[in-house]
Amino acid sequence: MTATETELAVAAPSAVLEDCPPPSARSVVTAVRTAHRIMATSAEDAGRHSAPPQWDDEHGERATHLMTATADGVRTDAAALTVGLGALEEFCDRLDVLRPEHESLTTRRAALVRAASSSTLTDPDAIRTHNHAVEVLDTAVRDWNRRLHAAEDRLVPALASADTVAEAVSIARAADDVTDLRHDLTTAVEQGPTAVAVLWAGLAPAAREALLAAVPTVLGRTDGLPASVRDQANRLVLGDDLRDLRGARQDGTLTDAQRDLLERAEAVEQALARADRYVDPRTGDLAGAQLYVYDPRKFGGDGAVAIAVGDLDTAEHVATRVPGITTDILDTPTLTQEATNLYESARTAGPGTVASMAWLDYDAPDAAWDPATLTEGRAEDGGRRLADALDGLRASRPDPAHLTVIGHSYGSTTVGYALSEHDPDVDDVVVAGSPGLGADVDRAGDLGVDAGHVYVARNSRDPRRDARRPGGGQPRQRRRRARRRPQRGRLRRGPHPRRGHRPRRVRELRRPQQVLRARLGVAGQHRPGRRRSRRRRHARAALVRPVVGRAAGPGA
Amino acid sequence: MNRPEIDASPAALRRAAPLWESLADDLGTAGRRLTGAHDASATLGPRVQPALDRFLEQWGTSARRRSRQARGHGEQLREMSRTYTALDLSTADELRSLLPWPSTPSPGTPLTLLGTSTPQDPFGRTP
Repeated sequence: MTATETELAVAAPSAVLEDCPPPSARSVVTAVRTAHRIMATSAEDAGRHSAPPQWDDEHGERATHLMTATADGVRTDAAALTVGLGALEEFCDRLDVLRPEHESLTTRRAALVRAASSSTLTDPDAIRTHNHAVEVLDTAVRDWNRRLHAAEDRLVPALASADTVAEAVSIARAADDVTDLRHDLTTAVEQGPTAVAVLWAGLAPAAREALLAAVPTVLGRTDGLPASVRDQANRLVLGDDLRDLRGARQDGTLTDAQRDLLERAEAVEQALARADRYVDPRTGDLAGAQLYVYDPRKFGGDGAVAIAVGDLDTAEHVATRVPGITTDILDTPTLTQEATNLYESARTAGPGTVASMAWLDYDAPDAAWDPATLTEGRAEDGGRRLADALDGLRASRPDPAHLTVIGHSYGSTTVGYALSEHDPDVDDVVVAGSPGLGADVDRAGDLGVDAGHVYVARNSRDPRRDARRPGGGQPRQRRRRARRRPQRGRLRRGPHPRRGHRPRRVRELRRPQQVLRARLGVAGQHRPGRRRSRRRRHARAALVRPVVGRAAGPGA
Repeated sequence: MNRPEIDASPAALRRAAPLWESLADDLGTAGRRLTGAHDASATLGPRVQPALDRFLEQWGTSARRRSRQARGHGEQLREMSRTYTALDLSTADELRSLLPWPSTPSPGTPLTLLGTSTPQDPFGRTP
């Protein structure tokens, strides 16, 4: 047989698609949830007839009081059920995503098996097309199997961690201590991410489980916790949101506000599901995704989200990308895809494990004409949040990652504020399409990273290259180049012959700034290219910022 | 040595019994739910089923055991209440026969053997 004949043999699908648990699997969750609710209520009822916890049990009355002992016992059992129920719900939520894909793969596989076993495929081109389809299907099947195993690998240990009396007692004791734990956590959060990391490292597994069950919303947003914990917590919250909102939709009780909320949650679900499926180009294994931030109600409904591809807790190289104006939580699928692209590029560019995160935990302005775009209040606030997140990433890991921050458009201004005002420990900085890096940044060195580790990317046709804000500085090399160009003259000539009205947009951006400057009485003080002393810059910033905030309105 | 005393009227015992019986019913329902889930555990797949079975078996068994115990406590209270009432009646007859006639309570009046103060609910409720 020749090589050509070998290539032209009709291939049949070889990867075996594993069975997908049917929708009826959720009946187990329903049953456990009902049992859990009954037992929790029973524990509460019995607790009302029990000896008070603070009873001075000198004579052992409390210890021998049967109603008290029963209440304690039922409460313990309910605590164990809480752990199993959470894991089962998460598993079934994942199955809901996997099941339609399983049906599609089954159909495609059956068609390809039929085609391979029939004698209709004789044309070489048709055979090549068929074989390619088989190859694609086999890859998809293996990927699907891996994702099912990943879901099972999360569920089984969770069930095993709560299937003995000793474990349940430990979980229940920790649950009793949740109030104290929450207080400890609040105190640690006030002290900073390092204190949070230290607290978490010192907690018993049962205490961690109890906190996760009791306050997933808090854990999901706490800087300094391991990314895996935040991911677990945020997925629980996302799952709860989706269940509640879809239930309301099914019941016909969904309000307009809830419909918007569901749309935002589903955008995150979609992005996360896709990231979960992403396969590392080097290893062929799932890269893994982490939901680092999830709050669809934040920032007046624009929402906050951060999804990482790769493991933020262990990757040698970690990149955090901050997007710019017009982005909100509905853009999560696009932002996550960009993070995935960056992951893939980094993995193929060199050795070392990688994690790439799209971070949108700040209120990005809604449009170029949004007054918030012309001021830096949101960048300043976002900078603080970003710095906390970067500090949290650092603190949660015993081994330091090579940390790169990437800011795009207004996101670069946010990055500038984070680095210049809060000094997080960052190795490299990349800004792209940047309109400026904040009031205190005139040189790359102002960002607090080592020399040669600041990279500026821009498109020569990007109108933002000329955009400046009151108080908005740019890296020095940009200013020098900008001064050499007769940009203002060109802008005033009207629409560009090829790019239409785009330069006018720059003028639109400029005009309000000039108005603002005139209002503020600072016109002419800002001279691009002129190096101001740090003292003068601070004095100027102190003069400008509060007034800018008022001029731009409360939304700035 | 003083023996511990408890002031509990038969009525208080009868009121406590339903608490246990209600608890027994609820825990029995929870146990049955978990047992039912046990029957469906195979639907979650062969890799999950063993861990799920252990989990459901553990807490289903525990719920049923606690239900049985609660049921027993309720029955015990009702039995005590019945016994005390019978004891009251027989002791009353005996006392009535021993007491001087003017002090004799009218037939059928129950006597409180366990104290003269207001009977206390063993679970802290006001009667």
